[in-house]
Amino acid sequence: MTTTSADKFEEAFSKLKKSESSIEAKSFRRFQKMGIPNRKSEAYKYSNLSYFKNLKPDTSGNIPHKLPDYFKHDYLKDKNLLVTVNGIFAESLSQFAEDEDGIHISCMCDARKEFRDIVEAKYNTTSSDHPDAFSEMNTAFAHCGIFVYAQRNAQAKKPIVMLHLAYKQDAGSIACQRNLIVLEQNSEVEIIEDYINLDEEEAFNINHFSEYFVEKDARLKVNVYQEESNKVHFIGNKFFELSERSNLKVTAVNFQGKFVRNNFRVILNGEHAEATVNGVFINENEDHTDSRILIKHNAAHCESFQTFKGILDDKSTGVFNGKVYVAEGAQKTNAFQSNKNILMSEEAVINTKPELEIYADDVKCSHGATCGQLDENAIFYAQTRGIPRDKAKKLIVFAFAQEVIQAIDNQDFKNFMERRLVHNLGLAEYSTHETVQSGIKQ
Amino acid sequence: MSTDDIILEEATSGEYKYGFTTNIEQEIAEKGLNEDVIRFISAKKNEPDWLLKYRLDAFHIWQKMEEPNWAHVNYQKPDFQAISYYAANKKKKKLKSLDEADPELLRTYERLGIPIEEQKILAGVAVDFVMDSESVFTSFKKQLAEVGIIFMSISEAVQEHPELVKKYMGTVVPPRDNFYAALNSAVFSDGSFVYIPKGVRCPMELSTYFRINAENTGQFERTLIVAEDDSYVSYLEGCTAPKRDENQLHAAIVELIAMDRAEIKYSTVQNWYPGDKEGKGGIFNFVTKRGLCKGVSSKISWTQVETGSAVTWKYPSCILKGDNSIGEFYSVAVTNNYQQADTGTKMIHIGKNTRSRIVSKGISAGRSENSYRGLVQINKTAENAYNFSQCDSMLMGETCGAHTFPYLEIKNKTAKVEHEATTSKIGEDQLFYCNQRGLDDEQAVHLIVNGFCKEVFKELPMEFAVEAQKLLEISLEGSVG
Repeated sequence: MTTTSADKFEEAFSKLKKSESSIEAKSFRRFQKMGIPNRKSEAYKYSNLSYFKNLKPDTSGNIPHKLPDYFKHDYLKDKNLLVTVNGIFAESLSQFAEDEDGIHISCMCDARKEFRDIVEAKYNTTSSDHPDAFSEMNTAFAHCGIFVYAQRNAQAKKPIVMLHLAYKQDAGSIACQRNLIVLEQNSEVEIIEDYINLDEEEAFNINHFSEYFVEKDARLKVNVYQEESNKVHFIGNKFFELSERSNLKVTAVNFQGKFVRNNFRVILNGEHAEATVNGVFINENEDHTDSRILIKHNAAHCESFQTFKGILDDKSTGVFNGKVYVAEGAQKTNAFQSNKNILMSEEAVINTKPELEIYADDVKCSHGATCGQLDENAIFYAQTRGIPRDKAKKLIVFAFAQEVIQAIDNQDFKNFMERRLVHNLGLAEYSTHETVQSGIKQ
Repeated sequence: MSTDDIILEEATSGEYKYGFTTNIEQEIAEKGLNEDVIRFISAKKNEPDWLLKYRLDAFHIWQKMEEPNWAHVNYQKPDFQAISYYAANKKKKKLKSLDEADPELLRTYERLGIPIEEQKILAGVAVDFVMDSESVFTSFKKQLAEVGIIFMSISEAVQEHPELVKKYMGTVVPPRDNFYAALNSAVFSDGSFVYIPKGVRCPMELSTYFRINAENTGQFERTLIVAEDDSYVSYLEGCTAPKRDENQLHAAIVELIAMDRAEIKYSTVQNWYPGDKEGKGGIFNFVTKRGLCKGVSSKISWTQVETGSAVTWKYPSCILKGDNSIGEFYSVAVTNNYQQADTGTKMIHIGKNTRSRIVSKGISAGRSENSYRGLVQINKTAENAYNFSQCDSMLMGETCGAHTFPYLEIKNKTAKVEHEATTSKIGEDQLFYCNQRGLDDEQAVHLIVNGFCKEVFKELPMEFAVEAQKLLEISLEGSVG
């Protein structure tokens, strides 16, 4: 960290007037000590973070008066809609069905009063054993984000869509968004997170940190969709803690973005828990996507699955670092991980590091990673069937990415993702297929 | 305790069979490391000025470096000032035959179970026996000289072929490469030098047995193998060390250079003292091994069987610079008790149509840690590069660890890179099947483990493969049963 940037953070923090014994102050001191990581840090080996060294925390508090056209999308119909602007929960823009029994949603500030015990027991408890500079920064400067609390046996009837808007941030600042999601025993919630920049021309910097607690027998689905402009620098930490027999499914779809770092950490603390973390990204221009996944098996009889796919074009770069950790005693673990990448251009670069760290003997763990270009035979086959070469290529990429998108459970969201995929690949101009046609309308 | 556990327990309690010390007079340098010590070593070896300068430069680089700690190992850092950097046998005279050798030495051979005469005749192996730092015995030299092959200790090579040593030494592993490479470059004691001239196919397997002997003496071998156009050589390196309680540092450098269409095959069986059952003592093995496929269609193949050492930190690598060149890495790493191994390879693809293949088998038992760490880097210039990596781990026991840390860095779209890894244990059903056919648990485990490692063993020369299997048996003796 340069002195100027450290000063900016110090100044901003002193304005918050937090007592030295607060969680915020402790995190801030740790953040100060760590500074913005450089490439010598193994966790950020392939990502250049120098851009973040000159930022200051965002304090703008700007909220747009009305929602943009984006909100007319089909997939948003009939959902619970929660909107944040620069990390702050905007209640005025949100819509929440009233008949959702046992599901409580509020801003973090209200939750601290209303659900004090829960917040105190859970808030900021996931980051202790793997310190990360950005999660500490987030804790120190967190805005009032979203709190979702599902009571015992509660089942959300409609998915909860979180629209994270970036809107007129302070110049050269980074907004820290913080969410807390707690699912009590045998509850069920589906979340869709969508990141949107309201002004494509403006630079936005986001430090997002969500903690998710999935207690006994609870089921959580999280779908993350990011289609950022080439002005966005995004750091996302999503930490999950799973208890006995709980189930988690995360799907992260990522189209473009100047700098996107997603750090998923899933801790399986109870027996027979199951976690699936899937992802696909398409990078163009000089995009950079860095996906880091840690699945930590602390208890026996758990299962985990990872499927990550990357498509890189132009001068884009990608990083995949997936790790399966099996603690001593976590016997009968099943863990699978697959990472596949396609390089479309001469200049694109992929760095992948699938890791296994295993301290129990009765386990089945495997991982596979591949990298290649489009199969000439497949392209040729399509050409012999009268499909132009260019379209053939796009169709193959479409199919490649589909593996992840097909596995999304929410039909509306899946259709929407398919359309975005068609649009992003430029397949719309060849439209014959139904999904392809609907892509034109985008 | 299930049968598996009992089997494991027994196999893991096998004792190191080669722990004994040979009493031979040695000349040992004062403990500690400074410029004077380096000058002393250099003077002792009667080295030319350029080599002294090389050592001193490396020493200055080393002083500025920090000991790396990224490896997945945990150990008491060696005190570099408490090590003696030179030990040579006092009686120094050239030997013409084995009869002239120290009878004490000959006994050592016997106890190691390597009947050297027999091996000489039957297997046609030329043995360059390194007792600590100095080469005291070189055989078959004459026969090799007839076809123009130079096979001698690196100290001799410095005297007799300084132009070759000067030209190639440090070109693959420069002193600033890493902390231990710099240390080795400053204080390297001895090692082997092999030069295969153009078009020559080495008529026999070249072999060196290293043995750490003098107490408190770190050993810093330096091996350099150069294979000219259209040549072929297979080199074997095998080690056993006497039993002792203090940690000993071993930081070697091996450099291989293959010119156009040349092929180098380098095989290692490493069985240094791993420490006792409580994890006390044992050798620190911090080695830099790297091969350069300089010419077109050249090939370098590393095969290693690692069963010894308390801490191993070793990545035999290939730089595939020449077009169509091939790099291979086959490894079996066994850790038991408190052993820690962080080993793997690096395949750096630079030339067009370069290919590499990695097969790594890790077996961990007891309370040991066994990591595979590998890098596959496909650079922009490496059109149509291909890599296949396979890393399998086998766990024996609930308290050991097996880890995989592969790094894949791909900068060329025509690259095809495949990596796969699995972790498993010996299944009850596999054991049961063997039991049914009259094999006891121990035999069954050896059978299964041997099958698990077969892909690597088949790459070893025959005599070595036999030794490797034996070693594996000793290392895992009683670990199951």
